[in-house]
Amino acid sequence: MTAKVWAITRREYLERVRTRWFLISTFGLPLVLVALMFLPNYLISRGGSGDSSIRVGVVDLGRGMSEELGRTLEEGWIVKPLESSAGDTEGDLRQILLRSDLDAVLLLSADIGEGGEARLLTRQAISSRQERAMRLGIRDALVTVRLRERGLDEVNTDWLLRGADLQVTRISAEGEQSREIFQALALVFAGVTYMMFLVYGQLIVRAVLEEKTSYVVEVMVSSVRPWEMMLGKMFGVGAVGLTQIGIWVVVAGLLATFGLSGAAAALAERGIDLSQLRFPVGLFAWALTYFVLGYFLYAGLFLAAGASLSNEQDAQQVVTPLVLLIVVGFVLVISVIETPDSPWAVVGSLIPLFSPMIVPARMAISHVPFWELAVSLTLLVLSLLGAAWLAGRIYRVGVLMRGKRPSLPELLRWVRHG
Amino acid sequence: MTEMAIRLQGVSKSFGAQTAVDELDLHVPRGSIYGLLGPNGAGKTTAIRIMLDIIGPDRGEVELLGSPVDDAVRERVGYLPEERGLYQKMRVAEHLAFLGVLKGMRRDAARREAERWLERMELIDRANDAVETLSKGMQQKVQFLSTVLHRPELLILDEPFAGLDPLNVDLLKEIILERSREGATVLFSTHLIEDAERLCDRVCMIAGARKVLDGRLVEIKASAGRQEVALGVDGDADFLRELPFVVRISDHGNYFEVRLADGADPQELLRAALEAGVAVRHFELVEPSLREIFLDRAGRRSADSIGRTGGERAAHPRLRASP
Repeated sequence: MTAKVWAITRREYLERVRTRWFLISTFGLPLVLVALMFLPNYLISRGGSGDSSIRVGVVDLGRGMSEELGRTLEEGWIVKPLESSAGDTEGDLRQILLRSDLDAVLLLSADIGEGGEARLLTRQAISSRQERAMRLGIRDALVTVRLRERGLDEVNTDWLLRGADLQVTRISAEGEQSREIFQALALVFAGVTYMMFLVYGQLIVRAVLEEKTSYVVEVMVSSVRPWEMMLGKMFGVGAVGLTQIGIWVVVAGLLATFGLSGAAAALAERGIDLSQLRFPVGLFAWALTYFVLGYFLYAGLFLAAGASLSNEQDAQQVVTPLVLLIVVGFVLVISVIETPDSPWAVVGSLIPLFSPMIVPARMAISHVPFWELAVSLTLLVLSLLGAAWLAGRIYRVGVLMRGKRPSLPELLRWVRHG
Repeated sequence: MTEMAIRLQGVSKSFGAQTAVDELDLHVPRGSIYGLLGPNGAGKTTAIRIMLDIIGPDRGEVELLGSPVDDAVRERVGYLPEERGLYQKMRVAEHLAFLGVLKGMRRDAARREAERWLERMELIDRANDAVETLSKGMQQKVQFLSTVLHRPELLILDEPFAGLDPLNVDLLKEIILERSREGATVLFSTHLIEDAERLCDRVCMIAGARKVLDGRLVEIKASAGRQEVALGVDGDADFLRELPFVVRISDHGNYFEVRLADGADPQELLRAALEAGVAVRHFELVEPSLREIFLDRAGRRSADSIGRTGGERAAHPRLRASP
């Protein structure tokens, strides 16, 4: 690496690390990630307890379940038995609901549970949590009624329906692994890689465009070669990304150390022995390797895109396909985490555009055979060299071009003559 | 070491159907201050970009400081592009140091030089401000500094005075002359002929992608084939009408503008005046201005070329020199 590439790398790095953007994204992105992972569940559980109780009138046409239902329905529902002669068509129920001060009316058909159904009419929309409570309430009430019909009065339905926790442990050369932790780790790897590729890809595009729109590029081109500019940019922007990841790892490490030791007793109760948890150094090294290689592949593509354009509007159009590729990769990862050894997962591990996200995720939860790793890495390195070559040619011509977006044939001519 | 700081031989460049530079030969001797003249869009900027290997020529050879343009040569050249541009968020001194390092300086030396120059330009108190906080004129000065920071042997300046106030134009000229005295070669382009006339010892004129004039300023003027003398006398000036080499006289009473024949010696006029016993108050050789020569040549040239290549060139009388 020449002194000039180093100088450009240094500039790109320092100018970005000093910005407010760096501070905001370093601490903002993990918050967004955590929010995406936990917020929906949190909101659902919070929203549930905030529901006001629904008063439901029950028309029972057959098995005398309304009383049981009153017991089995969790809080959130208040049961009011109605005369069975009140009506049995939907029209009747509608009349009842509209004339009363009830929030909902439930019709239990005569042969409920044996092919017959339960119908619920409500004035307002109910939450999925309340609907689930109703579904379970009807099931439990049915169980109680069925048991009673067979003469088993005093059976506790909770006890009857209780299952057992299933603990899955994979035995490998590295020792026992708890599946949940490594699934979470796979998701974190893929999530971080996904986010970083998206954010830093667009950052590179903007950096190239900024150079063109501010006309700095001509001074640069008169002093250094295009490939030196290009490498300096890739290294500099990439180093910013690695710094960010470094900060996250350190902070996460500190939080985990203090957080986990505090919670050791609680975890031990749930069967997780902290002394057996080892930091998977090899796994992190592989994840980092794939991240860096994948970064260079996408950086090359984004750089070429940026160099071929001269304004932000055009940039959005050309960058969109690249962004979609990254999104597809992440979607694949989510299915790969479910079935890490499926043919899909194997194919995805070999495609360089997706492998940086898929392979580390697979390695976290399953065993990736050596040949797959070898082929995947070879293809990735070859294609990143190809992308750098392509970007270099487009960059050389495009970096001085202004005005209209080049057509595809024009781009190909740049590549040939670049 | 060859004598030429810049050598262009038969350089041509077209953009699509437009010819930006047509068979340009340019020889800039070391140590000279060379003016590249021509109207807007004549091909000056394209020629300069070709010199610096920013764009490649379609045909022709380019040598800077005696060899084809490579990394080592680039470090010995300072370049001010026509379209100025700096990283807007960068701090001024840091930016200068950065550009210095790209020209092969050590970081600390570049930093020192940057501060020295900022001092001289009265910009030292802005050294740690972001470039974007500077006025346009200040930014231009900073960019000019970046071209001399590494003490290049060759300065290539594209329209260096455009957009500057007279005070700063003088400051830049002072530095250009100073660099020249220390042995640097300077080539600058301008569409303002007066700039070139005062500063250059050699000029090259381009019009419509072609060279119309090239050489030492004094020789160009001498060969322009026009000599005029402004004469102020006390007494009778009738002797003027006797002289065979006088072509035309404009009589303003005590003051005469006298056009001499091609090749005549103005000293003969002075001698004749003394022999006639006339007291000479004022005797001045009036050189034709570069502007008049240029308009002469550019006009004649385009007339020629229309005759030679038919209507083709006439259809593109002004060739855009982009990108």
